Amino acid sequence: MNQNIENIVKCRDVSVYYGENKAINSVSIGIEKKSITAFIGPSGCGKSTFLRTINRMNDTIEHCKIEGSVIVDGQDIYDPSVDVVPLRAKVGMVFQKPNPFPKSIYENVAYGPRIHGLASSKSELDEIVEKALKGAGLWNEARDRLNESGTGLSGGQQQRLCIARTIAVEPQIILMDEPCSALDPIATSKIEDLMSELAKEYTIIIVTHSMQQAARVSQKTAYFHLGNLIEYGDTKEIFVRPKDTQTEAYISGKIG
Amino acid sequence: MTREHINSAFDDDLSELDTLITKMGSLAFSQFIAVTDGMANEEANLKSLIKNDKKIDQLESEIYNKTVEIIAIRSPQANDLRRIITAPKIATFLERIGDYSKNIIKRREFMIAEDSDLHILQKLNDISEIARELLTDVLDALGRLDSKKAKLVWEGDVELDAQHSVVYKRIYRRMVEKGSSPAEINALFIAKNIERIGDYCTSIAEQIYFIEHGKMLDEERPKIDFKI
Repeated sequence: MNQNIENIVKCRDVSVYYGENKAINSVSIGIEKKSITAFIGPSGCGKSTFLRTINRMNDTIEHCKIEGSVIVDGQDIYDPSVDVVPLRAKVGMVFQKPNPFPKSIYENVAYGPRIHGLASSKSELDEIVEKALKGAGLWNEARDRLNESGTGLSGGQQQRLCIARTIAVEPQIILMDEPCSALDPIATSKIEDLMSELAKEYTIIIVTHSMQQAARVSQKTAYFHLGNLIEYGDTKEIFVRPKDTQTEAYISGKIG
Repeated sequence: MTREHINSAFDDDLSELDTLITKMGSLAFSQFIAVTDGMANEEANLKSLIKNDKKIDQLESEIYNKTVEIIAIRSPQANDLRRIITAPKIATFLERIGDYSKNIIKRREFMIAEDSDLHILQKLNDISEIARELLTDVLDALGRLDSKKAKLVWEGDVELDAQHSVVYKRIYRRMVEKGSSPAEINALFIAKNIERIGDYCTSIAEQIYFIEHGKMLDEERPKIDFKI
């Protein structure tokens, strides 16, 4: 790996247990800053579980235990002194199904900056909302309907609204868990195009079942199988010349 | 063929592509064998073989179509992708090999029309034999995706080049000593056609190597200096 590129996330020997069941087995990985990394692998391989260790979303699951260390931007996020609220602003998340709040488009985006105290006036908040909607490629479609409900948007627009909501609190990292699986090909293309744009400012980690999506959008790809990180490297290498036979079999559609 | 992919229709597609390449390879091969077997024999009717070249061309076009279809529908990756992307290239090389056999027939027909003695073509028996071996081996390596054997072909072409150089010099000297005749000029052209078939065998060998290793052979291929 290129030593000059800074790793904003450093995971060392991370294991995750659900009760007695070990879902992630001693995974070590470094995620490059301002790049897109894709986690791929068959269902149940642990890729989503591993993604959720990066902003402590697994904390909400009972009997979930984590070993090893996850360093985000120099901070051990599992240190007892860490407050998860600012952590989850720093490491935002976009989910499989767009989940806007049942509020106006404006309020969906303004909510985060407001609770994190990022705006000192209404006009400042307006600016943040506009910037976030522009950043998520939704401004032109939403500018004249900011007071309409976010749930009235199309699926693709709702997902971009969720991205706007995430970037409004100025995260460093955006975790995306199957962000396009509920979208049609056009909405998917818009999100993928947006991801490349967002990667200029943010570090993006995406879990996807679509191998083609991983190949299209990411610079790095990590292949997980049965809780193990099998292979991690440049996306072009992984898809053209995978080193591990398990990776080869998976991306070629030979194992499920 | 054993089932490899979860989607068995993908295996069927790959198998169909392999069959087309095998068919094209055996047609190009049998054409070259028939042409080199009969070329020095005045009794042999090779003209009737020209029509086989159309079948070889037709297969090239089928391989192109099948390749585009598989890429569009199956989105192949890694080794599969390399295997598929090299198919039309290999088909083009086989088509060229077919063309050289056809050129030999045409050149020989020209010699017959000129009333030339075809026995001069016996001097090409050695290079024909080497070219046949190279073609046999490269088609075998292709069928089994055996890059070690492919590399031996890639290295072995130097022998054909060396023997071609010997034959060329022999005919050339005779032309200098006894004055040139159309038969000798035509024999030199045919010798060159046979030598070019060896070159295409090395090109196919390079593709086989690429399929297995994901990179082109980056060594210097053994070569001889061609001097008269």
